[in-house]
Amino acid sequence: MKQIDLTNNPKSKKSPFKVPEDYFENFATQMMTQIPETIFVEKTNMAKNVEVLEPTITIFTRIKPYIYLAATICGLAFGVKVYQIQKQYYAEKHQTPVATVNEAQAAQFVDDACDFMMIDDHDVYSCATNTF
Amino acid sequence: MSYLDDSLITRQLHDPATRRRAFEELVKKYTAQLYWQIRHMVLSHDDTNDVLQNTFIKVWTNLDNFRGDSKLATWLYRIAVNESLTFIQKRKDTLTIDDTEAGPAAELESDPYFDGDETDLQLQKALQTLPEKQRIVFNMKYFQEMKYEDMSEILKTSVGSLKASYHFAVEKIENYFNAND
Repeated sequence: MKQIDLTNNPKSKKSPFKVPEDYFENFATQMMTQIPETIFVEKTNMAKNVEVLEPTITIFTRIKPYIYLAATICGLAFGVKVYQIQKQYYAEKHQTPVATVNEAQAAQFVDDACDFMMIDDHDVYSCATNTF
Repeated sequence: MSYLDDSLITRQLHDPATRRRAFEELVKKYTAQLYWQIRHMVLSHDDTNDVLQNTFIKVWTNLDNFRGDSKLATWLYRIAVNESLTFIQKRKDTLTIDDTEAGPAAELESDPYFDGDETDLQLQKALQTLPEKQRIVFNMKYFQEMKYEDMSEILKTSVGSLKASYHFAVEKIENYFNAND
């Protein structure tokens, strides 16, 4: 085997690699087919004889930020409404029931209890004053 | 063939109206340089073609990130080197044990786009035994005759470290040849 010469002598380092014919000439054309086309409307300014290129902006592109803004507000409003409904639902669910009893009903309960236990006013008085 | 100046290409790349035209100019100007850089790393022509296309696609999609802080050529080389390393890593991950032992240099013998002699083939095999960084430095210095200062910008490594890497690479290649004599 020939001895390798690594002394940076250009004559000794011919590249061992080849490329297909016209590869470099055709590469750019082939490459550009993979690059997305940007749509430009060409305007020719005849007075100044200057070619001006301006990108086309569709209506959707113009209103897109407003659509996003409206969608965000709707989303937020919906979220707040759902939160309020849930809060109300849980508040109602976990509320402690309170029975409202008026004075006449209370007196009636006491009378019924006294009848059931067979006690009279005297017994009640003795019990209250601890004298029986 | 004469090409536009890098600073003019850069300015046109940042203008949406001239971007595509400037990019085509950039592709024409740097295809050969980047091709050889990649080819010496990945070896096969077909793989090089894929990596080169990926490199330019990455350049196109990242044009807005290039602010001209570094030279255009440096930025392109850096992307090409990174794409090549990513490709080599993916290839390593998919190779079987037998393929790994032979290495991609072994495939050169049947590659229609390799017309080197036995010594060239041995050199490529020797290069495959080097650590990645040493192989890149050797290729840039030996085959592309790149200056250490330019390599330093591309690889973000000090000139001293690059010189050391090249020195070690040459030493290992010479040892490889002596051992296989």
